[in-house]
Amino acid sequence: MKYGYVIVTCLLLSFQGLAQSRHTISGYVRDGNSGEEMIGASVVVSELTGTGTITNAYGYYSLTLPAGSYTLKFNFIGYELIERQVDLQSNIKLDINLAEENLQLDEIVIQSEKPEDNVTDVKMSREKLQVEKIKALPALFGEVDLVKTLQLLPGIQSAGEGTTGLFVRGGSADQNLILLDEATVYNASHFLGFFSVFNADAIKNVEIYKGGIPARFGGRLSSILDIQMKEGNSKKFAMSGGIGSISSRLTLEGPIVKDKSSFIISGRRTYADMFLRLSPNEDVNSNILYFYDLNAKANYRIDEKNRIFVSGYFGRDVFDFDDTFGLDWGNATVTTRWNHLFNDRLFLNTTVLFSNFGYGFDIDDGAQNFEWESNLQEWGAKLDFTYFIDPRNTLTFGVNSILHRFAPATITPGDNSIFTDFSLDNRYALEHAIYVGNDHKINEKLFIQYGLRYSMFQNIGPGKVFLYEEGVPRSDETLTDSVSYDRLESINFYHGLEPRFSARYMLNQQSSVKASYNRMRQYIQIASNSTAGLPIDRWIPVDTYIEPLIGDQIALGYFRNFRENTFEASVEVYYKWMDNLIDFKPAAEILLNNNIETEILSGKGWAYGAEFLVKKNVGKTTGWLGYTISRTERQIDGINGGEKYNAKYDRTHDISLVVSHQVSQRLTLSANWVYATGQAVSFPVGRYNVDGRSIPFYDDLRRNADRMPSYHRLDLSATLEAKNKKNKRWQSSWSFSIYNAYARQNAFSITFEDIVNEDINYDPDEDGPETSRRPGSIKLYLFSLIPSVTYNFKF
Amino acid sequence: MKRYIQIIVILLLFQQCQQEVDLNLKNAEPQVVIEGIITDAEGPYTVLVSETFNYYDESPETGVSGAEVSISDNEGFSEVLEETEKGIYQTKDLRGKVGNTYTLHVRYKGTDYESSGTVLEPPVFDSLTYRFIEETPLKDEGYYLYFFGKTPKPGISYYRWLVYKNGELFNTEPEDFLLASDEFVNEELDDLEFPFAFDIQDTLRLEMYTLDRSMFDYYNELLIILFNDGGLFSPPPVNPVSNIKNLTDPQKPPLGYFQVSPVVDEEVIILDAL
Repeated sequence: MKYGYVIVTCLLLSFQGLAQSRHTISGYVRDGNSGEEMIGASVVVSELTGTGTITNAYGYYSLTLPAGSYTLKFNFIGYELIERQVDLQSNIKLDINLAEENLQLDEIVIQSEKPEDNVTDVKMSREKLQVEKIKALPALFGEVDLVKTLQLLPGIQSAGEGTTGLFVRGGSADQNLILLDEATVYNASHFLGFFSVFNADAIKNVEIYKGGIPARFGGRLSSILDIQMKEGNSKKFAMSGGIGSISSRLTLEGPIVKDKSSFIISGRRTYADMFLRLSPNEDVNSNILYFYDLNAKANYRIDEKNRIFVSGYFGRDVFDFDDTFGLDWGNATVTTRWNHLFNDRLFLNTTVLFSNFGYGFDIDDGAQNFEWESNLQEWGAKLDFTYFIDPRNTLTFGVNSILHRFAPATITPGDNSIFTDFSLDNRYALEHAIYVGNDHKINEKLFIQYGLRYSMFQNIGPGKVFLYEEGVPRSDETLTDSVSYDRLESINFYHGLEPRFSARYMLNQQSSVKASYNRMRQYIQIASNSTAGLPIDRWIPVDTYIEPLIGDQIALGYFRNFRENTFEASVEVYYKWMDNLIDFKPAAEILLNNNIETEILSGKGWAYGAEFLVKKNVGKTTGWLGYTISRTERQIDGINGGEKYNAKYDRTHDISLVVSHQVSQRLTLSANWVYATGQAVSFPVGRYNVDGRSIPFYDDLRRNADRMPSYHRLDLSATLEAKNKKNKRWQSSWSFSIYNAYARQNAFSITFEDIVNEDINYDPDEDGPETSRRPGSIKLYLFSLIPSVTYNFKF
Repeated sequence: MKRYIQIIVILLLFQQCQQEVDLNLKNAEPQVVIEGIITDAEGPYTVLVSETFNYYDESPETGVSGAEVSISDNEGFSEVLEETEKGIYQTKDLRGKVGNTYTLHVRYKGTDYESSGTVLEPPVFDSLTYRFIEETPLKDEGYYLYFFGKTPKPGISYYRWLVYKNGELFNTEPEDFLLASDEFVNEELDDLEFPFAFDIQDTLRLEMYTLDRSMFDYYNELLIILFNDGGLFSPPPVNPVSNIKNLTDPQKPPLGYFQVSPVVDEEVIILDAL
């Protein structure tokens, strides 16, 4: 009966399509309070089952329907549903302002339409975070951290305690494309990775793609982390901020011209060094240690069809030790965008962007003095079109080009220095892509998304390519010659197709199955032989000797919602093949090496696993439970005797539980608990004496065959809103956070060293002569229980 | 530079704590370890032959008897080393000469091991001096040694320094290991500071060895092992690649090294007057 109805509806629609003229209804969906555009808000046509669309990255939607009267429902999680009657007899512009849900304590929350996106959308392997919800979760030192919250999702892991590197479905940290307003952020960490560079106050939307990656994204193997900055309140001036245990934040936003133009500027700075300065100990108070972030964005609506945005991020870590040693590093990005509507159905976004990541050292210790500079820059331009063909097809297509410049190291000696001038050759490259993709609703049950991306990478001059003897391993000794290339001369060219495909099939109203396949090509990567990223990362392009990374992934999923979409559940399995992965010889010189190809080994990798997720997005208690079982392996000639071995970040089990409960209108309690199998490591299998010392002996055929102790931790937090009077503008809240509430001493590293005088901290200068020495294994743990308090305000 | 990064890590992790842990480690079959040094200084030279043992074993006997150890040079001289103590094999007549190539041959339990190296030109060591430095956050108060010399250019030279204080080897801890390449320094090496504070009346002797690339790589890899944190900030641990070959089964090189290098030394006594 039901099927009959669907068929009849479809037939009717087709006939209508033929018989009647079609018109377009389009517009922007915005937050009624701040005027911010809403990304991914749904627009549903009540009369036509299964017909609807979602707003694009700029809050724009367009629906082309046969002439007639319709009821449109506009919806976004956390906002009240809005229904509008339209009589579509000609093209209509309809901008919608959604109001935030006002959850009253004693009210039972009823939504007339629950978000069933989890089941109905074609997307899989994708997670979206609501920044406001992240803010209620416990955080290390009270610093709200988007990246660490992402690590609580299935399939996304961290390198170790407190680090912000992302390891997505068996990929390494440099296989994630991190986009902040479309500009690449090359190093997303502060303080060697304990904090991420994203100041939550300036962020509007965070979405991560672990698989099923649409054709418009490319350039990295594992994931795309797409972050959009807020646009600023276009209705009224507002200020917000916070005073935390280690940093303070301040955000200003408001209209420049009301409803036409707005700005936001948001800053954060730590003050650990100010506490250091208070210390009476000279060893401590002469040090400088801080980081800051500055986000700024402005936009202007020229007219209904044109809008421009300018946004920028600038952040830096600065460290200075006794004027003897200094280190600083940071990112800068600038994005300029122009949204243009050719007509109601064709949307174009033009982007021009710039990104810079650099670090510098300076050492000034007598004759040992020098400065060391390194940086990486890219200039890019993109054209991204969205063509809303009809309610069943949304076409996206575009082109983009990036110019990369790598300046890996320049060493400048100071006066009377023993060091000599030295610099590595700069390298230049062009990266281009063209793509086309279509979101195609075939019928009510089947929704497919398919696309093709063609990417190209060209090393260009000025540059130099070293030549080596044929048939023997490349080394300084087998180097025979070098070839120089002029400015803009092509040195090397790689290109390839990247097919993308996703499909969803509705089993019934509550459940669906989804499948996806994507191929990704990656042309630049970090040269590193350790796991955790240091600020002194060196990015290297593919070249004559290093081939592009190629990753293929298939994923299958079953999605089901329970109790009227109160609970969302999903199971996904994935399998991923990775080609041309690189690793380094044991004592590889990476940072100061002009012919890094002599230090590289290359091979293959595999990752597979299953991810389980249950989420509750509505009600007083929200949160999720995620579980991942996975395997990640590598095979690289010259490592582990050429046999397969566990990747360092292979985790068999990974569990995270995140719960937030709104106790009263003023008080929210949150907790998260994580459990993960220990990292795969190599422990010694013996010891030997050489050079008058005792050296751990490793089995070179057992790479990463041992495990660190398993990791688990509970964090708690409470957010208390002050008694804010409704009519008063000033609103404030307190956040209390406890990191590692049961003070588990999770191993950060285990080292194998001698224990002298039965004292693991033995210091020959203070602890007297050596009386005993024996081999030991010592665990380092970073954080036991860490409480923190943050005061937040806005007006 | 690694040292500075360690300092930052320590400062950042002001809460960090250490604890001894007992791990259930696998035990490998004993492997052969060979260690020999020939210099252009007077002999006798010693070759040690030993075996690996279980990680947690305390002070086991490691030297092995019954190895046939011989050293020959490119002038046709050859000498079989005598086992003076268990696992310790010594030369009698051999004297290293600059420019000569020496070949070590060890036969143990039916397996032949071999390595050879040439005594390179000795380093140019002009003088050694000292100065008093007051305490700073990075340095202890005391007298510091300063090196003056030259390093040949072009080309890359590799050096190792041993510091003896009152006749005893002083830089024994891994963090005091002095190993350097001259790739990024000038030909004139003036005022190169050694990072140790000494007291008045200390008698200090500095030995400087010129290494070949394979020995430099060996020591470098050895240091990576000694400072390994398990792979988070350092590379995954692997055994240093020996410059000694297994002739019987090339896939199973022994542990250890054969260092053939020139050495120069200089002595200084710290007096208040300077």
